[in-house]
Amino acid sequence: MTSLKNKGFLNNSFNKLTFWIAISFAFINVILIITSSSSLINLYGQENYARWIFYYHVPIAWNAGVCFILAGLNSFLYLKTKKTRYDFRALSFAELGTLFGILILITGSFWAKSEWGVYWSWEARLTTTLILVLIYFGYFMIQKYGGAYEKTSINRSYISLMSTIMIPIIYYSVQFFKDEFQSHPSNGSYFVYGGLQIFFFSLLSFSLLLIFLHNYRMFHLNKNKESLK
Amino acid sequence: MLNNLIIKELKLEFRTKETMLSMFLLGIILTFLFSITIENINQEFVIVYFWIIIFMISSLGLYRSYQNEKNLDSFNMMLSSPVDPSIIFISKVISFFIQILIVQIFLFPIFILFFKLNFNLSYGVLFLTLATNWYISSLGNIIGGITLRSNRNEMIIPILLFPLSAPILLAIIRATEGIVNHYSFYDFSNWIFIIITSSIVVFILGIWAYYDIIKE
Repeated sequence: MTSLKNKGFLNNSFNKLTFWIAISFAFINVILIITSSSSLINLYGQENYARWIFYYHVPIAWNAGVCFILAGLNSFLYLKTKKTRYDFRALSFAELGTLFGILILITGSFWAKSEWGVYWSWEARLTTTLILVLIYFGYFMIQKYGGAYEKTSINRSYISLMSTIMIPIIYYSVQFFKDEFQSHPSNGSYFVYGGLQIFFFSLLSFSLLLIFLHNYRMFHLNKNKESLK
Repeated sequence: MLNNLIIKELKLEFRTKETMLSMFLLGIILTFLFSITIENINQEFVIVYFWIIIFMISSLGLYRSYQNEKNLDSFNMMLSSPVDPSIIFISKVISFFIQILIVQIFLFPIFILFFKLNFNLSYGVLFLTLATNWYISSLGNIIGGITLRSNRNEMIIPILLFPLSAPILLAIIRATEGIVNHYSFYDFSNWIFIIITSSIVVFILGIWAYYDIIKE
């Protein structure tokens, strides 16, 4: 249904370009990671295929962080100027941030399983990410049930602005809650990963995917502007 | 003006006492359920239960207080009066702070009785409790204002209140544990820092944003 509604997205040449670049980079990324050397999946001298998740988990986390920061920034700009385009950007980034946030939790659980043997061990960064995702669920509840668009857009923006305080907490949680929770891998001494180039390629490919998804969402929001209001 | 508004809020509450009574009763019921269902309770669990119960009953109290404003349509009248909306916010924060404090004062002896505690109340714990109450009250009034124009506020208040206060819940529990068990101050000074800064930040945000949130 959504795809039918958004017919015409690929008519724009820039959109077409971002779509094909994002798709092809994502494809090359998968091929690169799978065909790379066995040193990538070497864990304590043993082969462990769950290690591949590192090349997805970190770029996804990067994307989510960028999305949440931009959502907060655009919400602030919307509150300052009351221009709808900032609200649409904030909404799009909030949706993508929540999507990538959920993906962080899933991929992080896989990594936790290979690293510590359990799927969920109350690791500080995953826990704080979960709190942020839960706050954004409230954000979408307000969007859906909060009343008229003019009211909900302002209220949502304040929630988004308030939740940006979680981003430094997530970033520093690894040092901050060191004694409370299971420590994060980048904090330990066992940070010995190979394949730095592949990691950066993955980061690039996920950033391109983010640009494409944001474009797509903005196209959708602008097209259905009237139904939103 | 601020005094008058606070007195008005408190008079409104003390006339019927329905919000505080329902908060208190729910608190007793939850305390009773926790104390009979769980055996071998240690002090850490008790602190956790106490704060979880306080957060739950404050979400109920906020719902009641904003539902009254909605039912009587009194908020629009108050907005049309020549009062700065931030003063309305401050008065609401102070009155709800007093209400939570009264409920806590009545609930705490029952808590000690049910859980068979020997608990020496120190000034540190008292100060942190007041700071956390201030945070709950400020954040709760912002969220109550957000849900004022919505017809699903009973659902949105807990969904927003609990995640946004999760770091504070963690902080107050760890800090109280640190004080009660006489840990060294540097072990839990981070948590105290979180509680104090977030109470101040949320209060200032509320003063700045309240008019924007509640206006039609």
